[in-house]
Amino acid sequence: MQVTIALADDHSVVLSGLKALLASEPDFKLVGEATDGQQVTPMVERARPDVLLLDLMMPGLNGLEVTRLVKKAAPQTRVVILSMHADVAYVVEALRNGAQGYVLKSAQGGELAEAIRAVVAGRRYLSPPLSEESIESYEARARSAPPDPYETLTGREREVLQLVAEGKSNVEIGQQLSIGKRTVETHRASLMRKLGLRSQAELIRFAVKRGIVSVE
Amino acid sequence: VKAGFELAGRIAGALVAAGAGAVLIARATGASLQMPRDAAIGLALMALACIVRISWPLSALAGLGSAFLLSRQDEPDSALAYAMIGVAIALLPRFVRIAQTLLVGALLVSWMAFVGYAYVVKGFFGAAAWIHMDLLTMLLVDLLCVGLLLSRPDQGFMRHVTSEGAAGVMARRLLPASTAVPLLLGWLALVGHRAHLFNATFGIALVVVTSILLFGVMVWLTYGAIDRNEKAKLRLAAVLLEENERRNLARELHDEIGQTLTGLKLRLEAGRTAEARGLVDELMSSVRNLSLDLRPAMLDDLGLKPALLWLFERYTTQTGVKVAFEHDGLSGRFASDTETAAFRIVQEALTNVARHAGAQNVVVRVWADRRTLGVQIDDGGKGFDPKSVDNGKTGGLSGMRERAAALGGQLTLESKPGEGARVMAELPLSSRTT
Repeated sequence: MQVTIALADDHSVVLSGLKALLASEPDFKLVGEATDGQQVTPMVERARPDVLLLDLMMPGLNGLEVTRLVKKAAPQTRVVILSMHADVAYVVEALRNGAQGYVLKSAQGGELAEAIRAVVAGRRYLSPPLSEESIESYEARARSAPPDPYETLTGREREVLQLVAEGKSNVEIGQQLSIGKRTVETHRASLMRKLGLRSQAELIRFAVKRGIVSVE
Repeated sequence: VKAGFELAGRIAGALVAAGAGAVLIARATGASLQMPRDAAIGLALMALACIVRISWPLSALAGLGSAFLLSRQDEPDSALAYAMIGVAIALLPRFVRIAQTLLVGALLVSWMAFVGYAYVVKGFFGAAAWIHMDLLTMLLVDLLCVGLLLSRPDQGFMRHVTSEGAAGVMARRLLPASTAVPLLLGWLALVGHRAHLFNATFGIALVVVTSILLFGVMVWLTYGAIDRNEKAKLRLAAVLLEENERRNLARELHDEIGQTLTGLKLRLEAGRTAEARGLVDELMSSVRNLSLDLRPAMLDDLGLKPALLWLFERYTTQTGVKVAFEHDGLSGRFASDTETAAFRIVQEALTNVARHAGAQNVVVRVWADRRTLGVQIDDGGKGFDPKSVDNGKTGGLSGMRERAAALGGQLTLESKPGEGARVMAELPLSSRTT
C-alpha cells in the first residue's frame, strides 16, 4: 500500500535531505511540498496526502498554527512535526493543535519512516527521549493552584485593606499612612479588583474570614 | 631704597612664581607632574617667600594669631599666601588633600584682599584689617593656586570638580558663578550707592533680584547639562551592555561551535562517520543552548507559561533552588513586550535569589486579569534592608524596574533582614492577543 506524503520546510537543505530519505522507502510517494507557512494549507488541500511532514518553525505562519489549519481543512491528513526543539512544551503544544507525530531533527535517519508508518497506523509517535511520561509530568507541572489573591497584594494594599476593614475612611487612612486620599482610593480599587470584591460588606467579610480584623 | 628693593624683590618673586604657575597649568592638561620636580619647585618657592619677606614665614606658619600681631605694613597676608602655596607644593605629591585645602585657603586670602580693594572697605570686619595685598600679588597667588589645583585634576577633591559625572558638571558650572556673581553684584550695588544713583535699600533689592535671576538661569543651564550627561551615560551603558553580550556570543561561537566544526571536518575527511555524527549531536545541543541563553524561543513560540516552566526546570537544575509555580489566567498570549518583561523580571529575580537569598525554595506567582499581568517572586531567604540596594547600585534591580516602568507598570520590592524578599511587578495589559 502506498503512503502519500507532503513536505513543508523552509530550508532547502533540509527539504532535499528529507526527499533523499523518503526516496529510499519504495512505498512512500511524495505528492507536494511547501516552503512557507502560508502555502501549506492550500497545498495540502490540493494534494490530500496521508501524511504531512511539517517544520515547526516556518516563516509566514508558525508550524503550530499551520497544524491547526491543516487539521481543519484536511482532517484525514496526519501531521508529523519536525522540530529541533526537544522541550516537552513544544510537543505538548503540537499535540494539542492536532499533530500525531513529533520527530526531532537530530533523530536517526530511520526514525522518520518509523514515525510515518506509526501515524498511518493510527498511533502517536514521539522521538526518543520524548515520551508519554515526560508529557504527563510536564502537564502536571503546568497545572497549578491559582495563587492566593491575598498574596498578590502589595504591602501598601495590605495596610489599606486592614484599615478599610477597621472602618476607617479614605481620608483617615491617608493621614495614617502619610499618603493622599487619591492614592488611598487607587490602592483600594486595586485590592478590591485583585481580591474579586465588589462592596465594603464583602471586603469586611473577607477580612474577618482571613483574620485580618476580628469581630468583637 | 628699602621700599625699592622690596618692590623689585616682590616683582621678581612674582615673575618666578608666575612662571612656575604657568608651567604647572601647562602640565595639568597632560600627564601629572613628576614628584621630585614638584618637591623642588615647592622648596624653591618656599625659599623665595623667605628671601622676599624674610621676617614673615615663621609667623605665618605659626598661624593666623601671630600673623595678626604683625605690623600692617609688612603685609603678612602675602607671606601667608606664599607660605601656604609653598607648603602645598611640597605636600602635593603625597598629601593631595591637605595641599589642596591649603591652596583653597591661599585663594580665600587673596579674594578677601580683593573684596577689600573692590569695596574699599578699610577695616574689613576688623579681623581682616591686615589683608591688603597688592593687586599683582593677588593675581599671582590666584594664578598659582588655580594652576596647582589643576595639576592634580584626578586626585583629592579636584576629582569631584573634574569628574565626568553629573556632580562634576554641577561643580564646574556653579562654582565660578557662585563666587563671581555675589562679588560682582555686591560691588555694583556698593558703587551705585556711593555714587548716589540709588539708596541702600534699592541696592539690596537689586542684588537680591539679580542674583535670583542669574542663579535661576545657572540652575536651568546646569540642569540641561546634567540631563544631557545622564542620557548620554545611559546610552553608553546600553551600548556597552550590547557590546559585552556580543563579545560573549562571539567567544562562544568561536570556542564551542568553531572548534567542534573543525573537529567535524577532520573526522569527515577521515571518513569516521560515527564520530562525526556524535559531534553533530554535540553541535546541535550547543547551538540550542546558545540561542536559549540569548532568548528562549519558547517565549515567542509558545508564550509566557511554557517559557517560565522551562526556565524553572533549568534554574532548579543549575542552582538546586526549587520553584513552586502558582499561576492564574495564563492560558492565552499577551503582547510580546509584556511577556518579555514578565519573563526577564522573573529570570532576574530568580538569579538574585540564587546569588544572595540563600533560600532553598522560592514561590513564583503569576496572575492575569483583564487589566494587569502580575508577577511575584517570593523567597524565604535571608532578606535585606531594601534601602541598602534600592538606589541604583544593583544593576539587576534597576533593570527590572526600568522594564516595568517602560510598559507603564511598576515594580515593588519588599524585604526585611531575616524575613525573605518579595519582588512584585504589575504590568498593564492594554491589548490582549488571542
